[in-house]
Amino acid sequence: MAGMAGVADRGADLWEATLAAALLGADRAPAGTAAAPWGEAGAADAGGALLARLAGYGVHHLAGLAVAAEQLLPAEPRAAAGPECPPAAAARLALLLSGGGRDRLREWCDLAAASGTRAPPWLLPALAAHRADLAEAVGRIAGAELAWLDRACGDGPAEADGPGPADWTEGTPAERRAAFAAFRRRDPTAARAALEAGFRAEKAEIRQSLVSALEVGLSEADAPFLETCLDDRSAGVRAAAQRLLPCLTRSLLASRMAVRATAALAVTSKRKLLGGTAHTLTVTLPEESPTLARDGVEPQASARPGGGTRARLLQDILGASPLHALAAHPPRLWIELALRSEWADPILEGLLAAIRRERDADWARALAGVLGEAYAGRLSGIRRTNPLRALWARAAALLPQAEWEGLVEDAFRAGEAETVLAHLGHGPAAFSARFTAAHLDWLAAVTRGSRAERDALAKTWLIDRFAERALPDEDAAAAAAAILTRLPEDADERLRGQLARLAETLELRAAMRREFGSPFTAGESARG
Amino acid sequence: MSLTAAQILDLAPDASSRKAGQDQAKPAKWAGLGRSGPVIWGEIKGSGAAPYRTVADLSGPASKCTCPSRKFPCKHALGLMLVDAAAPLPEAEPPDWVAAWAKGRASRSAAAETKAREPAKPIDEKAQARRRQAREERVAAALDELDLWLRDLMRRGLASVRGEPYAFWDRMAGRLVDGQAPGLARRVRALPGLVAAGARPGAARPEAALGLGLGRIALLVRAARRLDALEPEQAAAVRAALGYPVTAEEMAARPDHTDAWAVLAHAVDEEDRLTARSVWLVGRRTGALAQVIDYGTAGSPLPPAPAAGQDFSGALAFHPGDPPLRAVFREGRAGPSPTAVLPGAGSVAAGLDGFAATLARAPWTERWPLRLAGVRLGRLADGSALAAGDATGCLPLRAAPHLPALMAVAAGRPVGLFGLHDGFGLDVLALEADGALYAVPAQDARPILMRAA
Repeated sequence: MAGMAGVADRGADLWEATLAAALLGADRAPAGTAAAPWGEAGAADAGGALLARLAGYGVHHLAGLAVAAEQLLPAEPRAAAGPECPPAAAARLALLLSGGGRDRLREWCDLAAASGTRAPPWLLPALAAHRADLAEAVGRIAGAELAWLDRACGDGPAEADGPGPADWTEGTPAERRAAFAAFRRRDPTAARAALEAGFRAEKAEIRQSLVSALEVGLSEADAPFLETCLDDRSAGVRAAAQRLLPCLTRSLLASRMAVRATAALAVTSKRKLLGGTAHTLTVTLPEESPTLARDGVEPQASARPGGGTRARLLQDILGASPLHALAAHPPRLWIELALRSEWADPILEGLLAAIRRERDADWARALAGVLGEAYAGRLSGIRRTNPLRALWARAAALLPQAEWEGLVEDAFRAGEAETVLAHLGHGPAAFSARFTAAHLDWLAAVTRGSRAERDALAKTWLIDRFAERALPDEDAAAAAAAILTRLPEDADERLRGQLARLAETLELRAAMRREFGSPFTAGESARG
Repeated sequence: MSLTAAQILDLAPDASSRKAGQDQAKPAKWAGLGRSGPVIWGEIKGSGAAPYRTVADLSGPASKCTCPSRKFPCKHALGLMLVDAAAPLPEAEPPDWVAAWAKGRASRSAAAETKAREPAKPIDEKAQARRRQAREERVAAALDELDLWLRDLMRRGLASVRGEPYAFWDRMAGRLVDGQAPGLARRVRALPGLVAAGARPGAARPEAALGLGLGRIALLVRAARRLDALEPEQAAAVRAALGYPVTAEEMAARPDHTDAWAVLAHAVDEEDRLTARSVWLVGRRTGALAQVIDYGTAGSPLPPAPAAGQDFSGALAFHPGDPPLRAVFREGRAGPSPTAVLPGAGSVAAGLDGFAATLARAPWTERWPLRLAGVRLGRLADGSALAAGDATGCLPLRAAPHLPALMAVAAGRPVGLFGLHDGFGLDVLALEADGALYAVPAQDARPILMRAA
């Protein structure tokens, strides 16, 4: 092509001159000096002559258009970040992207991440559309590829130069928070020290957002700094510190709360005449005070009916105080005494909050155990009520997953639908294989059982939740399909619809696992 | 043989059908599923009293459903094909209604064949000659009028006509339709779009595009007036560009071109209440390119055609023209493609030389298919467009929603490309990488590719 450069240049000049003349019009443009592109005289009139030049030089121009090879900046080859997913799984992803649910898409991403495979490149841009709503899931299986694609398509030139850690002191509030959280993940101590250094110069909303970002990698070493935040000018910063400090059970705030808790609850023991000890719980409701408000416990305008403002203060204090404040007596004793006290509701709710925060398995076992016995009617003087069952279900959900599943399996065997339904309203996001099977057996029994129980089951919409939580191996999918086919003719449409969706969802989820070449993966069952 | 899920979804006429088709793709919803060779069938409960009976022939692909939907293929047919794609249906004895449909199709195609073979009734040659003469005269008059209009445009200048309303262009196009030159009418109707379009990566500037478009029309007018000076094939090409139909007798006389025709891509254009679908094929043995165009309207759906990534083993017949491109299907079967190599692909310089050679023979050509091998994708140094190139040169890529997907599949490595070139940029339709063919879906504007084979 180099030899033709001269010709092409002349052609280009003629074309540009002709086009300029055509834009002006033959009436106004100076009469062309250039001859018609083909030797013959084109036309008598000026318009015709210009038209012939436009046509002829246009084709010459088109035929000669070329861009030199050096003009291309080829995209750098993308290094493979891992093996591509199996073809069947890729086809499934294509289907999910053109109209599957978000949950299934997230599950596909999780499965791909668990099997160590990457999204197929031909679907990357479609997957990029979900970077906003499924950021983490998509990032795990296609993050490197999408970053490469952004660079190659030139969409994000700014991102191209910053693969290293971003500076948390600059940018929009959201960027700063993300960068600070990343810093904190790398080096919690240095991040806190850096924040502390320039803290007073920051604006209130930035202070609030960065203090709540301390949640990442929170440790007892953060307590002194958070304690100073309790006196911050901004209410948002104070609230953030009040939310984080109770998680640090050795902090000053926690010790203050512990003092308040032990002041409110006192157990007095009296030796009985016939041996053994009688315990009584004395409850002193707390008074509101500025120091209490500083620690984040304030009277609520919307205190629950039945409990007054001060009962709510007691609940909040117990919820924020460390469980070791009650170490003087075993958990069971506290809970039994609380259950019999006139302030049962606030105390138990407060303890529930504290157990959930500290994830204390012993306390959780004690709470679930006592409430379970109470609901079973094995504790004298405690009535079997629906609120008690609901509280028991919430307490049981704090147990480690295996224990929760064991407890609910017992309920399956006992066959009391109300109890089972109360428990299934809580619990882990993903069930084990064993529990999935037990759950399906129970569903099979209920759907062939009495009409009332079937209706109760359909009303809770628990089947739809189960479809998401079950571990979907082939057996589970087959069992769900069998339940649907054996459903009695007179079953109501709502239940039939729910069971049909269950069978469909489990089949789809089982198929997705099959397509990744493994029944299910270890990482997946550990999820939740 | 089976179609992949992506190929099936590409058959869907719109996005809602794609979604609805997937909702039907659940084996639990179906009864009486079965297959016999490429024909699959099943019954599905719809909103009607009786279940709908759906049958599909995957080798077409063609389908029939008793549902009242006007979409074609309907969601049930898509669902049925997707069910089969997920897990092949079991072989079974076809029920009566399936057998009747298959028989009806066979006899219809046989009837069409015999009709094409033997002219049904004696032709009134005199009347035909008279009609032909009348048309020639009308076209000649339309050409004169168009020529006058073009010269007038040139005197006024293109800058001044850019402000004209659509009706200005449409009036001339209407005169050309009346003058029985619909090919020219289409070109004139396309002009206001060129005027209105802003500058886009990989495309000509609006004023240059307008100038070139007018120039092409002028060349066509000029050629049309000198038909007797042209070679017969060239003259036929000019007549086709003017909009003369090719008669059935003419087509019947065209020779078969038998090959394993790889279907590279489908492209769908909406033209004025008409859907024009181009199937792009390339012969594996000869390396010849072919474009099969079918038209569909709201009432009459597009005829079935092999899907991108399949091979059509059989004969095509080319319309007269130089260089030959447009063709029609003759005898043959669609089947899975054995290999995904792009036959006849070459360097960028070779592709551009081919484009220039086409312009030399038919300078009114708007776009011409190019096949490139071993090109890398990237950006132009001035950042104006994405481009593909090798050591001999590079081509800007026409802006399209599918470009990021092409980029992602290429992953910076050398790939094969198939697309349409207009002198300024390449409109990519298919990409070959790592022995797999990826086609740009014809009717899906989302930024995805179809893994075709």
